Amino acid sequence: MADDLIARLRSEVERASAALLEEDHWDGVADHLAQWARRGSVVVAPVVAERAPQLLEQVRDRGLAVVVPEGTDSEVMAAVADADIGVVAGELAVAESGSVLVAEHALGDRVVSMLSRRLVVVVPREAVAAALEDAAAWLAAHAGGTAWFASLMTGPSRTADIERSLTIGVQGPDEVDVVLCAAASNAARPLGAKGAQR
Amino acid sequence: MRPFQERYAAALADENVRTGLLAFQRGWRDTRDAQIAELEQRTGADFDALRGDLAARKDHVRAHWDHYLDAFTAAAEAAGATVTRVTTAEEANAYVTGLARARGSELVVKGKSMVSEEIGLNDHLEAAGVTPVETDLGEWILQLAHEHPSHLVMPAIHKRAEQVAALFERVLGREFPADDIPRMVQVARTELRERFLAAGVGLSGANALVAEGGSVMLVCNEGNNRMSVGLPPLHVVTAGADKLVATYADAMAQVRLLARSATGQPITVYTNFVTGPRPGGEMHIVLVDNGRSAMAADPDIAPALRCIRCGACANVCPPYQIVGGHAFGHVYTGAIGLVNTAWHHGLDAAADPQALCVSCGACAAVCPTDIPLPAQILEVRNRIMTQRPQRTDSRVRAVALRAFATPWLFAAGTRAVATVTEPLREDGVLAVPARLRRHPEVGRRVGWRSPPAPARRPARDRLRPRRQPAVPRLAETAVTGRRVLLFLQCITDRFAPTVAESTARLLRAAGAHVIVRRTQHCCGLPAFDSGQWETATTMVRHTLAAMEGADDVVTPAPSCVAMLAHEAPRLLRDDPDTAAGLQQLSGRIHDIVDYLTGPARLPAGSLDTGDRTPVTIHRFCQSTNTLGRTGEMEALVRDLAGAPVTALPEATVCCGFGGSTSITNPEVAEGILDRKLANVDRTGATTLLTDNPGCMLHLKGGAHASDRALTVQHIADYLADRLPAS
Ligand code: SF4
Repeated sequence: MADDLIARLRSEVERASAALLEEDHWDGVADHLAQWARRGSVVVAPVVAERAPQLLEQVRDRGLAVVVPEGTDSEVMAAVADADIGVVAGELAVAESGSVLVAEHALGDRVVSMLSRRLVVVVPREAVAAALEDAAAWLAAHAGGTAWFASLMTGPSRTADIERSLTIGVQGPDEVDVVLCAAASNAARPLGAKGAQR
Repeated sequence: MRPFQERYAAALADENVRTGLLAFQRGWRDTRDAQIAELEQRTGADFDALRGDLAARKDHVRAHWDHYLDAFTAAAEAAGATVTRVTTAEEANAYVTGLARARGSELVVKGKSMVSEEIGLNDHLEAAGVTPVETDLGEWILQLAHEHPSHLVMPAIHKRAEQVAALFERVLGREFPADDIPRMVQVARTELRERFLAAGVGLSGANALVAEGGSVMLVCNEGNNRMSVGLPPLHVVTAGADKLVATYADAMAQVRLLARSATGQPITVYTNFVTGPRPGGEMHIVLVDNGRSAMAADPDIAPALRCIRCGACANVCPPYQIVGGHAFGHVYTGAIGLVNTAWHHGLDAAADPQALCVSCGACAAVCPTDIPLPAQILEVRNRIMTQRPQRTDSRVRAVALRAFATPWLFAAGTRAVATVTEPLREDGVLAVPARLRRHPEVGRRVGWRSPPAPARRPARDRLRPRRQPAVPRLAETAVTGRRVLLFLQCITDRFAPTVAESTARLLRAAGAHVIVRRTQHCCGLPAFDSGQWETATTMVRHTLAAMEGADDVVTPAPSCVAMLAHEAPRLLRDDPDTAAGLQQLSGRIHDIVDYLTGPARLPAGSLDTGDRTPVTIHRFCQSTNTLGRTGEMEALVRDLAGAPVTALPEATVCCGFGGSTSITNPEVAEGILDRKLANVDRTGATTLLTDNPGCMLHLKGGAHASDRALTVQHIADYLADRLPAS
């Protein structure tokens, strides 16, 4: 991965009021989560639980409870209702705009990025792309016959609707950390709907 | 919606509207310009190339509309969505309301959707016992206040924090300090959170419909849109098929310009692609026509369907700054609202706010999809004049223009007024006595701007062949010996004749042989601008006949150049002979600034009298927006006269003279003029130069009425004053 691409990504992520971290191993990611979690638990999207069971173990090893929202709609929503920190998987990070592309088809995956106060997006280090066209190519490759829900997320939720005054954290998270993790990989599993519907 | 006059009066009465919007427009301009400059630098393509590319992508889809509609429908349905096409707003409302009721849902959460505003969906849902809750913070505030959005992107831009605090106190029964905006935002989060979790239906619009994969693209900053569509079991989209794009790459081309144009951000926080329902859920996509097919079938209007609802055309609009979107527009606000309203809500709804538009062309300069908004607004005006001749406004315009278009009547009228008002004449304007100005109707019209005074001797008389003053030739130029027809312009001729004399002297100094024909009258702009295209066409033909045989045509008024070069071809579509004549001539029609900058360039320093008094410069809005002028006047003043130029803040913003606004809606023209003169004050300069006689008279009248110690001059007068004595 070209370092200048990551440098570009970092400056755009920071410009969007988010943070970029780089970790080689899962334990580094777990350390951050342990440091950030304030209520003794971390909500983890089902996609992450499936892709990176090691992370869940490491989080538990640090004395934290791991909540994976699953079950009926109301169970899923209740699981995340009070979450102060949630972890989701990014398929791609886009250097041009500092965005991460997150595919979250199942309700359990969606609620994590929508309802957590602090959102941690783990992106495989190899999945840093240069431009929005790369995100378009990803979307095109996954289009066709199946349902899916994918979002480019660029920084924390914000509004300027009252007197143009910028306020961070409206309906969505008010803090976003993008973690580039060398140990993470999207390659081994199907994405979006196909993954979630299995 | 309330009648226009009520909305207009309410907007004027609310001081917050203009102060809030002024700050917004200034801030937006800076951030948007910086973002676009950065994008240009990064991509190596200029804004025109970038928007041309986006426009081409959208036009391609429109040219193959049925194909892409079918492709989108097939892909969305393959992903499990149901796509329904409806013709009218009523059908759309019935469909969505029926769905909600059939699913037993009493609560609907809504992301921002202009189509739902367009069709009035909330009222229908409520009538059917379904409660719609707006979840965009601005829309939610307006819903609580029982108001409509006043801007496409910032719906509550007209509200101050104190007003929101008071509203929240009233509705929520808690106290809110007006300066604690974060707290107001947080309360919206808590109040709305339960609704998201409880709603049975999520409603959204669409920023794009991607045919390639059947995805609905939705952008938002708050996260409300994705929660509205992503959490409830039923997601209903209402959108126009104009939102179709062919591929995800096309969607990204739109994304790149959308947020930059809307809020000056590089990208919105969330750009969601929703394809089919979530597991166990349902998704319905309702494609609403409501006039769109008719727009597509009309070649002059079809480009309006490229609109990506960024709101940029409102963010640069000077009259919008004064009255906001409740008056400037209908459901759709800003320049695009002056166009598409005619198709979505009818010609009468579109007619009311037309006179607010000053035809400055600022909207077209920033539109990221390159919609020819000013030309389309004029198309709509023309249709109002021809299809609604019985409207009072149409009748008044018809009578006034008929008098104006008759040369002898115009001449006799201005001469008569000149004679009667002679005692009130002061430096080209009428000093209206204070006791008269105290009368509300008079004050409203002339209290803020002393009206231009007609001259007793028009320019055409002053420039009779034998009465022309001798002017020493300053240099051999590319125009030396050329027969240059001086097109006086109707306003200059009768209201500012010295400007024509100065223009003639400058031309002679460059060695031109100046011809002034008495057959000339008006280029047709006022008639064209009023939508009276038959009259305008006659005037164009007459003008072209008066120009016959000249090597070049030069006028002190760039407005006439813009009219003849850019608008007249539209009028001559059915008259190929005259159009060909115009085509031959059009490269040779210049305004004096353009001529002096180009072929008639005088030697550097040749008008330098040693006077170093700083001047500031207002460029006619269409010189910037239509003719693409940048620093020509500044260069002339510095290079020829050697005087320093102090940059005018917001130099490209209109002065308020344009269109018929200063007559029909004087409050708006007054507000725009105030903004301009306040900017002039900030420069500290005591001399203000401009290139257009209309602007000159307007600015001079404003300076006079406000007792400013400001000399306002047409640049031709300024330069000619510095010609060496013969
Ligand atoms: S007309 Fe152009 S500037 Fe106005 S909202 Fe539409 S895309 Fe934006």
